[in-house]
Amino acid sequence: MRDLLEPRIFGRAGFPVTALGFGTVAVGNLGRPMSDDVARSLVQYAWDSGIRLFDTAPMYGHGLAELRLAAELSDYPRDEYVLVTKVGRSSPPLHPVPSTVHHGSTHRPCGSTTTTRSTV
Amino acid sequence: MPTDVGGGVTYDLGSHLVDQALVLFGPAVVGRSDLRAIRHGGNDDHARVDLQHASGVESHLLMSRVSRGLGPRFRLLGTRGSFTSEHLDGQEPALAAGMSPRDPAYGLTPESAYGILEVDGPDGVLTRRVPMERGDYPEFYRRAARAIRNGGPLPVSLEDATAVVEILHACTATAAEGGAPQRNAAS
Repeated sequence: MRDLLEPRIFGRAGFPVTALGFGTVAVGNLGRPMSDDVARSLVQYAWDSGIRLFDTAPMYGHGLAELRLAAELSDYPRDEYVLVTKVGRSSPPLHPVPSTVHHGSTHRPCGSTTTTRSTV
Repeated sequence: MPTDVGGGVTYDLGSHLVDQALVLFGPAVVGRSDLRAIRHGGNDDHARVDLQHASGVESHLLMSRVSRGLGPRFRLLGTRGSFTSEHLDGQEPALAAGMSPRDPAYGLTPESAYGILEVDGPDGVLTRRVPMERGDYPEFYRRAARAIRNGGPLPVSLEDATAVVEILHACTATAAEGGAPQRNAAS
């Protein structure tokens, strides 16, 4: 069995990552909401387990996953981990975003302004 | 980045629908695709894709993030019979309700959610409910874990993944030729 934390080369990009990455769609409240504290402790657990590859997207909770990931990862040296996100997808929420998730001017999903109202 | 160079529901949910169609009916080309951006300022969020399979089957795929109801999840139409499934198997609702995949009842679908087969019989149309095959999302992860740990085959081959992306690319390229995705004016 290979060591899951042993660095491997990421595709043709050439930089090394841990074989296991931490995905953050759940941190963006997909399926069921979680508190900021739980989200942060999950990221911390991944870090303490040796994971140094973190994957997120503006789509995960309309920015919530990126913000939560940033809150925890900003405590760690930037040159010790790889952060993956996505661009080019924009989907204004159909329903009003709860106040705990709303982030107004502090963050906007890639490619468009945030809207909290349906246009259909 | 402008949204028209990104991907919307077609690349997102559509990748699963195209994958299912290719797995079930074999290689295909895009017959027609219609991508729409109904919500102002977003990528395509409602799309129809028609595939023509080399086997002769035609697939009509519908994906949307703006429709409450889309009709049956699967509908198979043949000359002398048809099959309609209103639902996926029971895994999604079970997981959402907190059931563990280790639960003995995991992956089973209640009879009320079975699909309906209708076929021509000697005395008219025969109708019966067809039991849903036991769902097993965890098998994907078992195979993925083996591939990562031992370097074995991936649960989805790169060739199969590439075939899906080629279809999706053809859909979005077709849309781009017509200046699409079509945008509805904001209400």
